[in-house]
Amino acid sequence: MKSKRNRPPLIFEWLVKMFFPDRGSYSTVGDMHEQYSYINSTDGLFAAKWWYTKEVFKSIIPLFTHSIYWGIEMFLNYIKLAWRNFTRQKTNSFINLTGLTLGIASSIIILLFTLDELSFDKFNSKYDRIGRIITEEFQNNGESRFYPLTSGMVGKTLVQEYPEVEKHVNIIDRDVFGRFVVQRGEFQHHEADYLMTEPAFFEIFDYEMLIGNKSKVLHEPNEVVLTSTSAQLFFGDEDPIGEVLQTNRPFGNVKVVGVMNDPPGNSHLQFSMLISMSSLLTDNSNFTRIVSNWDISSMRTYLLFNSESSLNRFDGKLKQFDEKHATDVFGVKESAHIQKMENIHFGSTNYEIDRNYGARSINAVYILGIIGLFIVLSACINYSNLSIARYFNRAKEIGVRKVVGANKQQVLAQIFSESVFISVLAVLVSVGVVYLVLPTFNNYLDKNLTGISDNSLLFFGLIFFITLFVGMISGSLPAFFLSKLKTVSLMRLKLMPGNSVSVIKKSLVVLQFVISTVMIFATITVYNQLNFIKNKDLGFDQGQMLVVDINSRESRNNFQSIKNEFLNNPAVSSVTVSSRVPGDWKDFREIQVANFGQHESENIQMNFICVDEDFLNTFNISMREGSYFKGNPGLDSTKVVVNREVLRSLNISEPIGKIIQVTRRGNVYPVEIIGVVDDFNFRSLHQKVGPMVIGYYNSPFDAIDYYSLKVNMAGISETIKQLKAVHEKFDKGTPFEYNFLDEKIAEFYQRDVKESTIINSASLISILIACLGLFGLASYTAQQKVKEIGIRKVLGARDTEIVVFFSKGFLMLVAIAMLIAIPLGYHFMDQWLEGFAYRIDIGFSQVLFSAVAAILISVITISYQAIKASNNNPVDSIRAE
Amino acid sequence: MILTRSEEMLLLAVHRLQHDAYGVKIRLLMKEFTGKEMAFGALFVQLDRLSQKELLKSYLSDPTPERGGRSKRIYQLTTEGKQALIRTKKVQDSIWENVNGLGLDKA
Repeated sequence: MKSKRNRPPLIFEWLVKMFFPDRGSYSTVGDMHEQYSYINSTDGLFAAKWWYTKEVFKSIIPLFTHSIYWGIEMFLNYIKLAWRNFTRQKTNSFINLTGLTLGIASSIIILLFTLDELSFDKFNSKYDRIGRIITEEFQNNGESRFYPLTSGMVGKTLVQEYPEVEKHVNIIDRDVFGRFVVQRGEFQHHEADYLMTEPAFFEIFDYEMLIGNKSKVLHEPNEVVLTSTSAQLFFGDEDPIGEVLQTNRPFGNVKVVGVMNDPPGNSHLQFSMLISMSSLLTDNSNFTRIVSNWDISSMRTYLLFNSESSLNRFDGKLKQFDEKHATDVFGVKESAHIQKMENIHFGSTNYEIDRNYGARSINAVYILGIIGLFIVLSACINYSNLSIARYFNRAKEIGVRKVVGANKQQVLAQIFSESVFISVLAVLVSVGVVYLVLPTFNNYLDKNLTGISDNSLLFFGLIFFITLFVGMISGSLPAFFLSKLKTVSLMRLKLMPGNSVSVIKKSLVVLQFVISTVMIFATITVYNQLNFIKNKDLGFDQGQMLVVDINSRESRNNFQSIKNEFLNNPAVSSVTVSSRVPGDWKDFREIQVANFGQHESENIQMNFICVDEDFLNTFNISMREGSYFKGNPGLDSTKVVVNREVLRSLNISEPIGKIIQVTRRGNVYPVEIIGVVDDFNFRSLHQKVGPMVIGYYNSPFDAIDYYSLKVNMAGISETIKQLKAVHEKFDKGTPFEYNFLDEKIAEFYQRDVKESTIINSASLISILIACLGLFGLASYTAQQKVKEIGIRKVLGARDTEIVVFFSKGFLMLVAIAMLIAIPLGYHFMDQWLEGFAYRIDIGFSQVLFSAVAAILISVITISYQAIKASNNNPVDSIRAE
Repeated sequence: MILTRSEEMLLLAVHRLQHDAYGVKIRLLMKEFTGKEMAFGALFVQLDRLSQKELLKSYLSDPTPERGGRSKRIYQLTTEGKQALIRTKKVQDSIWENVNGLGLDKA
């Protein structure tokens, strides 16, 4: 019987065939196959595959040592020769070692990064049995929105109705109650990273408790478990257990009942403290009603299943659940889904309101991996090219070996032991390099990568694999050519590389330059796009804007007086209050809007901010038509100003005086449009400007949350001190909190800036490696052509002609690479730019620039050798024959 | 020549298994001897070295389906192999002769 299911993993079978020396009869392959079938029949297919994979890796090491067993002496001789060649050929060795080190170091870092990315949430021992509820909300325009919030009823009902759901835990974070101030004695702290949760939290997730008992905490109301960082923050080295922290939010004081380790950096849940959710669930509280309402999604609900397979099947069952518990909203306008924990890190890019630490698209990891692979390959190409050249000079050595009885295998063994030798050297150096640069890298990417961690065995295994891989790939080309040559031709006085060799060498150089040019192209595009974003007119002023948070009732109710006192400061030229600011880092209020009198089903979701009469001039937003708020609360509260996108979505041609209706929380409010403003980019440039309705500060849809001050930046720290004093006069409870708008807006693009730095360094490294290779080849060619150049000079060639003659061939290769690289680069970068709603177009100038850059770099690289060759005195070069 | 402990065990395993002395069975028996599982690679290396020293010889059996259509390589002791085992046993016996005070009897 030959069925596919019964076969071991093909690639590994192939590996076994490669390594076991009795290749022809495959009896050992058969042995392993037999054992594989046996395990398959007793422990199942997966166990068998796993065993096979492990077995192959366990076997490779003894087999590899065995393959050099026939003579440790011989092997030592190869190493000795490798070392002699290494020290003699200084330029070559330098190029090889530098190139390989750069390549391997980058790939080690990328490997560490990838391992860390793949390890997200895996510290949870029940990792494969945990899922979280995702709500899909169907919108009127036929599209869906997804977010990881659901009703408080869902988790507990699921546990009741489905036996495979063992436990659930609900979590509330600041999206519901916002930040609050935590106080101990005089010390105040804005707490934004708290979670409110239930005792089951510790039963489902494996966070480590330092002080206190996991099973006894968070049962009672007003209990808090601190992470060690926040325990340090509030209590220093004192014992926090039993101490009380004051808060200004719904639950008042909380008692510390435990201290836990900070959540690991590879956890999608990051928090600073856990507060018992029962603090909120007093008998008649508003919150108890909210939690028991099927239509209000405020909980992040995680479920623990009895087995992985029941979790896998569960999404299908939720449809029934939706129908059974359908209300006007739940199950009709929304439906529940389940997301496996293993998908949370990479599979959440479409989810909104997702506090998912470190979430990214898997593509980012793939791209990084591909870049790493290319860099390593490029370094291997250098080695191959240079060592082919070198081996042709050493042909006699190999010839002699063959004459005294070396067989083909032994010649191959020599070539491979040399390439593995240099790859081992390079790995050793690059491990050193990695340990030097890793802190910087960690700091930059907000990671905590170390080689030595839970994964260290896997990591060292992979390093070993890289070493072998690099050695084998680098050695394979010279091995291929040399083993084909006959002993007689090896012994001939001078051996010239054949045509096929030089074609392959040339195509490898082209490949290297394709990689580098694509990288240059990417660098330029990313640079231009980021520059474009930095300089794009957003439709409002972002410079010199100081934004002060409103964190208390006192600050909100006294805003007129605070505004006036702010204005008294000579450095402040204008002040406005608003619920959000353009470029805000928090989510905008969403409202449902339709033309007046229309049915609810026509509603379109729009963003809303409320402002006062100074908003427009403070932010320097320009009016399109109509008028703006006059500052009369009675009149202005039912009026709105809209952006042009609103007119487009509602199909309004004559907006002024037009009545539209806003639905919020089931109530319908008619409002009148009095003016239209130009579209301004109130969110990041990754997104298009959406429809935005601007209301007066006393409108029923939102409340003011910020003061925005146009300030003179001269003496700003003094100004801030004075403003703080004003704020403290009115608001004694909460600390003065401020941000500069332009800094906050820059944070939108932090990720892009980081990506660009990575691309820049990767392209720098790949260019460097390609240039090293080119330099090496040029020096080899210069050596080969020394006589030809001498004769040309004798016959009257000028130095410039020699340089041109010498460089022509190389530049031809670079030009071919350019032809391949530019369409490739265009394709990749066009896709990257798709991620921006406002993007540059890739123009001819960029293409030209990257081509010129690549050519210039290669010309500079070659010119050293070219000029050296042309300066040679023909007497020296032709004299000896 | 004197065999090492693992060579000795392997040769004995081959001898005991007679016509069934191929990779999978040898590995099983070795596990019984030592309690440790050998990787096929390591096993193969040992068998190959013993063959190179001409203490073992081998032939291929007919292919069988559960082996993915591969043959078994069945190992046999050569005369040198048998002699080496006997020599090793003798040396061992003489080493162990009259050893006192180790607590051998109690064990």
